Amino acid sequence: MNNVIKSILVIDDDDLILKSIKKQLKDEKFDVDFINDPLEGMKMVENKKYDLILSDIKMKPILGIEVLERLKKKYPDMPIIIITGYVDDKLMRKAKELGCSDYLIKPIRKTDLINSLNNILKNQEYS
Amino acid sequence: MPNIEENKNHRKNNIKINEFNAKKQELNCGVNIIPIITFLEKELGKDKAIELIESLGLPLSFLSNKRNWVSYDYYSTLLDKVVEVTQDNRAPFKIASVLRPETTFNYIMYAGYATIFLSNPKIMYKTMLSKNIYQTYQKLGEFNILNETKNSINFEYIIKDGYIQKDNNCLAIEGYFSYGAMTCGYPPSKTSHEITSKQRCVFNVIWEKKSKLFEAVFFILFLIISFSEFFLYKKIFFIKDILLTNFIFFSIYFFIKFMQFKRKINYVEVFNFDRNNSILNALSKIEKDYNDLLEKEKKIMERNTYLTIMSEARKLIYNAFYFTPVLFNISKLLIENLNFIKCSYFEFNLKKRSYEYFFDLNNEKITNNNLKSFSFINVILSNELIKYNLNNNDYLNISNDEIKKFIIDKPVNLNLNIFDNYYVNFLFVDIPSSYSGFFLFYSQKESNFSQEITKMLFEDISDQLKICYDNISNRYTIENILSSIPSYVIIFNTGDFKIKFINNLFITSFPLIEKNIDKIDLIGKELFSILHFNKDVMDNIYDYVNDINVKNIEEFKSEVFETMINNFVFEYSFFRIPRFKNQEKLVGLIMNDISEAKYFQKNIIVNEKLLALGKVASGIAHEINNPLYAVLASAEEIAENENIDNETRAYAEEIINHVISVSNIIKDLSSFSKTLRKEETYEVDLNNVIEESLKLVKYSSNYLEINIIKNLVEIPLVKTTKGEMQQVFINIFNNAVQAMNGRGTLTVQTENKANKIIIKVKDTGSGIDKENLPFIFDLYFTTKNLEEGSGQGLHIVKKIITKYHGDIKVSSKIGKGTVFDIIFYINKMGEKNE
Repeated sequence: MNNVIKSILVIDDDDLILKSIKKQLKDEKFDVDFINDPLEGMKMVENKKYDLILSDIKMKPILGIEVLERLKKKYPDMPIIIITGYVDDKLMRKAKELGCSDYLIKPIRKTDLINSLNNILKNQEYS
Repeated sequence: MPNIEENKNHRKNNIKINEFNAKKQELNCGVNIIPIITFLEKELGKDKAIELIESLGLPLSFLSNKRNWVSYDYYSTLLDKVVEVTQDNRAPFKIASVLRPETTFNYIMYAGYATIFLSNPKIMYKTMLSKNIYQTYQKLGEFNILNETKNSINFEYIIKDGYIQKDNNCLAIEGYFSYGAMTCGYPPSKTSHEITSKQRCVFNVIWEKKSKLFEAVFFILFLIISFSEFFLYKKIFFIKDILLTNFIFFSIYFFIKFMQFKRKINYVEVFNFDRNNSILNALSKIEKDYNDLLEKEKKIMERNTYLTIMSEARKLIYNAFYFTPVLFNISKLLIENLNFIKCSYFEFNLKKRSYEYFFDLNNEKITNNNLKSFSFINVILSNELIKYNLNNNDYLNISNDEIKKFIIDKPVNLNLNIFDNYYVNFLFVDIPSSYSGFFLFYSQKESNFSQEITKMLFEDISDQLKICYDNISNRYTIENILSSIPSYVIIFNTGDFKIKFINNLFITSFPLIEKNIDKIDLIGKELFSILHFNKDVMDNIYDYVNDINVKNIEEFKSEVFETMINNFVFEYSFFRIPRFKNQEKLVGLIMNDISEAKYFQKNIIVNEKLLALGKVASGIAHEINNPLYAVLASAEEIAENENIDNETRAYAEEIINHVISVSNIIKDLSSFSKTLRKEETYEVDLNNVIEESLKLVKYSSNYLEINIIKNLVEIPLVKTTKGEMQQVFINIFNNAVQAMNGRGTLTVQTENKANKIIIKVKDTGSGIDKENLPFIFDLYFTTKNLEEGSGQGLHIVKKIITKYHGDIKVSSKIGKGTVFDIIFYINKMGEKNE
């Protein structure tokens, strides 16, 4: 199972962020899809089985927290990492309540991001 | 004062009664003093005698009429006077020697008659002692013959109740008896007297044997009559007839004389009887009128007492604050004014459903051991309708319903025998559905207060007590309402500024009032003597009071003023109290401590600003973080590129570090502004908060070179809000930084002791004055310039800490620095103290 390439979806309406994440993950053996429209992103989840989703919070037309809520309803086992520019305990707690696997605050160091992804994916394997 | 008035009346009445009795005695059982007058005229001459006699008050014209008699007192005073003037102790004895011839003749006839048949004066003395003859003295007393011999007689004279035997009087009587023998042709008898008791005098009379000559004369007279009859009517009568004729002759003569005498005595007696009767009738009428008057006077007196008691009772009732003292005072009042011996009060105990013995009150003037030791053991109260056995130690076993029936059946007027000599009067205190009790008043049988008026009085007092109870409960309710208002309320008179009412909050926590002062001490005192208000408040009070006297109610606008008293901000306004008729003009002042509100008002503004800033900061954070992310990702890529030289890699890494530090600043800023929002409590790691707060403090403008020593051990999470904790620590750290003027060492240390967390914050700043230490947590207390601080910081620190049941302690040394100890108790954290 270790050798199977994991597929990850990154949702953020800011292309700059998508670009940055792309840069940070380009050397890793992940199959990463990027999408800048959360509604579109949700459709993609329905069509393709992703192992992990990375989502921003502040997006248009729907907020990341809503994306999280909807996806978790449909795919309770799907690990979702929230990335955000906001430092907000309340939001963080809410996200954790809804079942997000991690909560990363932008800007994220490359190592932090990769560690977080690996950790979650490894946990998912064992579970 | 009713008592003095009453005494006066009483004394006046006594005098009247004495005069009245004297007059009655004088006329009713007097003595004829004509022999005394005659004696005095003979001894002293007419003029002197008249002068002497009239000096005693009664005119001679009255006294010399033998139908007018004087009192025994008057008579004996006159006898004393006779002895004094004539300087002859035997003068009263000698008075009999001037007996009027007519009287003397009566005695001679009697004596003669007696002598003829019995040849002994004894019969004369016996006649004198008999009721009809010696009437002058018989009016005053009673003669009894004790023993008698042939030539002596021993008798006593017992004077009636109310008179006393006097020596001179006895001497006068002795005189009459001594001279009496002379009228029978004997020499005066030897007499003596002895007063054996107040009312008893014993007389001894010894007369000499009959004179031979006297006997011979009568014998010759007898012979002449017999012989003349014998010689003149010799042939007609026998000797037997002569004796009979003699007998008949004397008999007829003496009978005629006796009848004459008897008629005279009868005449006098009948006359006196009629006269005395009419006088007595007149007197009894006067007496009746007088009694009526007394009755009326008594009624007026009762009425006065009634009114006095009622007015006193009303005073007690209208000035009452509590009910029990009223009961005490009422019973005291009634005991004092109506001469009750004792009073007991019983109160209905709702829990026990029975009347419970409440108190006893004794009249101290009439101490009666019997009643003092009396308690309700084996006492039966009874009348025709009910019988209650009160034999339960201290309680009356009467159920409420029974007593209610009892009250309806017989309202108040129940006289029940408790002991042989005492009566009980009931006074009921019955306030429907809230209170029931009754007084028992004990009195002696003879009460000078009539039952009728007692009944009326008790009913009225009972009504008044109902009103009293209602008043007190109303006042109590009103006072309770006023006292419970969470504002400072004070009511005062507009004329003299005397305090009429002050509520509890005022007494317990108004900053200007002395601590531990009693409410009762404050009422009636002058307002400004107790509360030293600022000038602006005083001016407003005077203005308002002035306006009240000038303006109409409609013109009044309720105005709210604000003042500062001892670092507290107060908001106050006045209110008018509508008055009834001529009641005193009262004004109320209501004050509220709005320091907190003021503070929060300011704080809200500050918070709003910060929140706004926070929102902007968050927006900025988002806007900055995104490009920063791009910068970071790019810099990382450069740094990882194997094809670049070391110098370029170093630059890239520097960029990465700066990006991270910028992003951290933004994180801290936006995180702080968000925590200002209202938060739910949750488990917060204080170490974390301390770290974050320290970071923020670094951005403050006066932070220059501060060595921060952190000594943080693992401590349990505490249930609070992060925002509030941040506020606490940022404030304390900021203070420390300010105290050190930006240079020094700040030590922060956490300790985890049994059940409590201690956070020590130590600076090496200027320290706090000892005098100022107690005030540093007060609102608006500050030693800083206005620009530097508002004096709110430490107040809010303390407020937040106490909200979570924590403590903050401070110790400081001038020039060395200050240490704050913040203590949280873990088991108390859950409960919010709001």
